[in-house]
Amino acid sequence: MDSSDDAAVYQIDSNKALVQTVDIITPVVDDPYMYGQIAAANSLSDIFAMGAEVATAMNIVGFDGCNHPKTVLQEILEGGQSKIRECGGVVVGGHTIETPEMLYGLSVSGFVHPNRIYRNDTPKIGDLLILTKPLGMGILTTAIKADMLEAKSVQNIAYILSQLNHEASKIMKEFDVSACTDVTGFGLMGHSAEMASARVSIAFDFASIPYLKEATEMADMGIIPAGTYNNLSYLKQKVKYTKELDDDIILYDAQTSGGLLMAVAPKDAPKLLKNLKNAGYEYSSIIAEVCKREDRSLIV
Amino acid sequence: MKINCCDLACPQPVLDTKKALEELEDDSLLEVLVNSVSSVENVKRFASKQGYESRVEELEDGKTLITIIKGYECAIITSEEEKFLNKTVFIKTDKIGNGELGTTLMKSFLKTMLEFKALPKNIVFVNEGVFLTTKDENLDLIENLKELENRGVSIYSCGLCLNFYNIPAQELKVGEIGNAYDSVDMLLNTDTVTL
Repeated sequence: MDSSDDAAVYQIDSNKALVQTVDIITPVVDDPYMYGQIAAANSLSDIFAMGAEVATAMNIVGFDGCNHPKTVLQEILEGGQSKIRECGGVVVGGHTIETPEMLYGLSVSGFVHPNRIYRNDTPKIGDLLILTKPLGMGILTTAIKADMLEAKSVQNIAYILSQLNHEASKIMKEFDVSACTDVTGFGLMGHSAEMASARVSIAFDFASIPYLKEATEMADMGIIPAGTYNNLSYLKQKVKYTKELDDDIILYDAQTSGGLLMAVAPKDAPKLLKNLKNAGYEYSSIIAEVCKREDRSLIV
Repeated sequence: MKINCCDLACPQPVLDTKKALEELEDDSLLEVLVNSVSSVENVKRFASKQGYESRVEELEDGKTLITIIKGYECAIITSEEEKFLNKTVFIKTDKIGNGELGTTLMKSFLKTMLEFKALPKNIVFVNEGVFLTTKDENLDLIENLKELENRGVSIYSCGLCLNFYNIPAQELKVGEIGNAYDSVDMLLNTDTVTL
């Protein structure tokens, strides 16, 4: 597998390939159990983006034992475990070190049939792109740290962040999906650029891209993480603008535990979209079309 | 006020800026020192969302100084510009031209001024003009002048002239007694219309 895909793949035999990934994050919400769930959902996501099933997971923890009681750590691990169980995985151990800043995540192993791996850079021209979660999570988790959001918004954001991409991954296997990735640190534009590679271009319909409205409010207030600006400066030259947009920063926002981005044959798109929504991915939306290569990868 | 937000990760520079702006009195400046692109953008966005003007100056050592003007200076200037012309009406006599017609014209002129949205900043009465702001026979006109004063027009009557005509200060029915310095200042620094 080349290095820009979502996880490492090691073929064991003609029927089985091992998929491995690791990710850790700093706290995004105050509640330790919820943080555990979100960090786990974030770590597990790469496995689902490859179309694989989770087998085992190991906890990776950085914990400040001097300033936090052990019960906090216990709750974080329980939150993580709940998500690993939800997708049929088993926790097989882990490792904790003392760090000044809290860190948590998983090293995950999964399996997939070698012929049924979903690559992130193989979309077909004419396919439509579906995104399963709303954007804005980088801005919003920063806003949560700044204590600038109402409790109700925080709850909704935490729910979306903790939602596994497992069901979405299972659903996509029933349809003609040519490529899949999860939208994480490089933002929608970064991961879409990877999907387009040098072979095709992707044309977006900005109005149909799902994002939380609190995210643009916070962006106006200047609550935008550095990672998002890095994405913007790195990716701008890959994006062709067909009109002026006010809230386009959202397209570059670095996501934590973002949704899946799937390239699906147009005839299958409406049914796939409907099934995703019925499975609880209520923000799912058809956001773009894969088209013939133009001079830039992405068109907005 | 000046705050140093170098080496702080988002959202801290914005939060520090917010706190400093809250503590700062209106119509004063806040200088925010930062050293990352994201901090510059975020602090600028925050200031503009609050309705404050800001300017950005890149310093030599990779740092950037953002100066935020706390206050609605610009907004006020715009609305004042709409309301007031940078003009002074300089009235040297109680008539426009001679005789009875001159008196009527002056009254009608000052009354008609009320119908305009954009008013002169100042009206200065000198020499025989001071009769218009003091004499009982000009009460109608004085009412009009009071209305102009209510709308923000500054009305001055020359102190030297009042003395010359032996009009005591308490006879002044509208505006203030002006001095030579103020009058010359207005004549030199605003467009002057002389009647």
